[in-house]
Amino acid sequence: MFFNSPEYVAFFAILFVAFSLTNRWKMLLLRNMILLLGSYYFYAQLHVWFVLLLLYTTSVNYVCGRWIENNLKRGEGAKMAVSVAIILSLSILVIFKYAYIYDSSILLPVGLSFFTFQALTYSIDIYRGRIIAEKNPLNVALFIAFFPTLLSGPIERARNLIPQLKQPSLINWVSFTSGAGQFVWGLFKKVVIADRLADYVNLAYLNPEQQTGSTLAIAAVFYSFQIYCDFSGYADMAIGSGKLLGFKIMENFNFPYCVNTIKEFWRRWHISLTSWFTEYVYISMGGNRVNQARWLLNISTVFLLSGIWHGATWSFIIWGAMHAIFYLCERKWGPKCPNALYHLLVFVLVTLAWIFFRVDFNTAIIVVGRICNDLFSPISMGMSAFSTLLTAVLLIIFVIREYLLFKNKLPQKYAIEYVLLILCVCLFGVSSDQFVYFQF
Amino acid sequence: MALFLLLLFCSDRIIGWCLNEGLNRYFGLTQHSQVLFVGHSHLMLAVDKSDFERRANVKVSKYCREGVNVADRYEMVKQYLSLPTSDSLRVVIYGVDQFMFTGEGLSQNSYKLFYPFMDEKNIDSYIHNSTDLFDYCLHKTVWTTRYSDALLNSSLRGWCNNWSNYKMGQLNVDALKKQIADGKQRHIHFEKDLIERFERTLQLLQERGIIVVLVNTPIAQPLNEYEPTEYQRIIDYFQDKAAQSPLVYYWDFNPDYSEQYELFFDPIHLNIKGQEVINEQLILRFNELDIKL
Repeated sequence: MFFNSPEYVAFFAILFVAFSLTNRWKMLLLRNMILLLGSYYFYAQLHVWFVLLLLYTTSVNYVCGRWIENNLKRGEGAKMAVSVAIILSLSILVIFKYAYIYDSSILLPVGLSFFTFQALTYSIDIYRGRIIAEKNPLNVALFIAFFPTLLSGPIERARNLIPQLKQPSLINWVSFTSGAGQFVWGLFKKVVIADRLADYVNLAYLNPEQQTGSTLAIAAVFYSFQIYCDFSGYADMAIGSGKLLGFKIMENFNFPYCVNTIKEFWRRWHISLTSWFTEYVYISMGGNRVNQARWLLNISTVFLLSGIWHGATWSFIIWGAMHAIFYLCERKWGPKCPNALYHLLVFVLVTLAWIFFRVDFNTAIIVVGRICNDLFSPISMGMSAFSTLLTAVLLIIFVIREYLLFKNKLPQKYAIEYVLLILCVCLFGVSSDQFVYFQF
Repeated sequence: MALFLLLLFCSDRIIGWCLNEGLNRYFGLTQHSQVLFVGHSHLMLAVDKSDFERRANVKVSKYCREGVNVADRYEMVKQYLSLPTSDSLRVVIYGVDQFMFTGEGLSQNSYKLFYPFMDEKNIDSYIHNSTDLFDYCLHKTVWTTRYSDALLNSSLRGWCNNWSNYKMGQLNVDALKKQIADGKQRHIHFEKDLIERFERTLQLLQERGIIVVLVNTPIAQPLNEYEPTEYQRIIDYFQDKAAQSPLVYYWDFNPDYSEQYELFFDPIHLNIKGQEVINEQLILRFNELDIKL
């Protein structure tokens, strides 16, 4: 059961009614129990035993949270407790990720990296004195298993979500329309743009040796939009679902391709993970209040960890390293006032890095080689010329709307706009039960 | 909210109606035709409907769809015969090939091609039996969910009166031979259920006095010769059907054209040039039938 499945609509409708009623009657304990059971049911639809991992992560962080708080004044004890929380939480992640590399038949729990990192914000923030440990394990369990953010983020902070869970939600017409609107826009991005682009991209990357350079170049550009629409579409549906229930979840994307610099791209791409690494790794290492050599190390570490977070394979490590190099080069030699040409260069560099993200290193070299040597060649129209052209038209419409939103030129939310989006989903939507970021 | 839902409902119905009308025009389901072509993409790409109508001086409905198997075609024939426009029908030109009774290879979800027509009684029960209740209700309620890219394309072509073949490529014979050598080719089977559906189709048409032409448009020769015994068996079957009834004919274009590889887009589909040649031959043979329409 995923956000883009009809089953989810039925699940959400039932949950929404039960949640709204208990919320209105201020029966918070019952409301949260319903939400927790709903979240576990949502996750159990993928595989029942995945819920055990949630219970494990919840137990570790709840117990360690209490342990940290009890030892906060004694310093060392709290440090040990937070270390235990980090090691025990990450160990399960490392075990599964490495086991999966050696044996791909192992079932990799969907969303493991997301809810592990989300859980860690609870223990670390207690250690840093930003929040106090929860006495009620239900709040911790619900924070970690909160179904909108469970499978692919955004990676919420305990200090943002837990207080919301402890008070009645504000469910009104404004939150309803705003949530529904964001959900529909996310659904459009996923099923109308991302999944349609995937058809062309998958075909091109299936046998890159047999494709022309121009086809591979188009596939690379399509993949840049596919992964953005896939992931940000999921985030929009997650945030929209949260809004419908009256919760405010952090944004995960902020027009990352509408920017002029690599630095700005990283402020707007997968914001919850980037800010997680900034807050819990980069600043812990001294941030930018260190000498030049140490700062270089800090930045490189964050980018490499960001790559490894996606999986311990060379593809992701190279992707992270490429971005580190781009970032550092831009800082050293980048223009002070980036223009449209530099904007284009940033997009090309990001697209280049996505090629290494999408396929293994050797294949990526073949793809880049063919693009460079054979760019002006006939373009393959994919399985169906009509479908590919239709996809290209829809992509252009998406880019225009995204640009207008970025420029704040779509201030009014008209019903007609959402009618059109829903009709596009019905007419042009492609059904898929996969999200690119589920594998992380 | 009510206004939003009303707007959504009305837009869905208007777009759904327009798309359905386009499909009806493309397949010729709303015109009184004397000739009906029934088949999958194999026959679809071999026939130029406009040219056939002009030169044979008959009205033609070309009800050919990608990936439809024999069972689907039975439903298509039943659907056509249930239409008020079918009273003028005299000849059905039915596409056949050696893979006709092979279940694998053609789409297993081809019932989805019938979603746009699910308001017709026969098609409605066919879809109801083929899909789950949720899927059925969704498509029954929301008309715009009934269209895949292929159906949208057909509908658009219907509105533009466009039946042209746009396949410009040419078959790579070496690649085909390698594919066969690697064992990646479909085999010729005789699945009982499919044979039964085919025979019911023939019976249904003959009962109405409609002439049936089983037309085997060319398939690249390597595919015709890699299972010679099975191939001959299925050709004999079609010839027997033609011999058994004065209303059934069998036209095989393979002996003359299956080795003219410049006519093929891929092993079973003709390109633009192939369509020109085979359409010409079809018109000639049709005119030789000298049927009183």
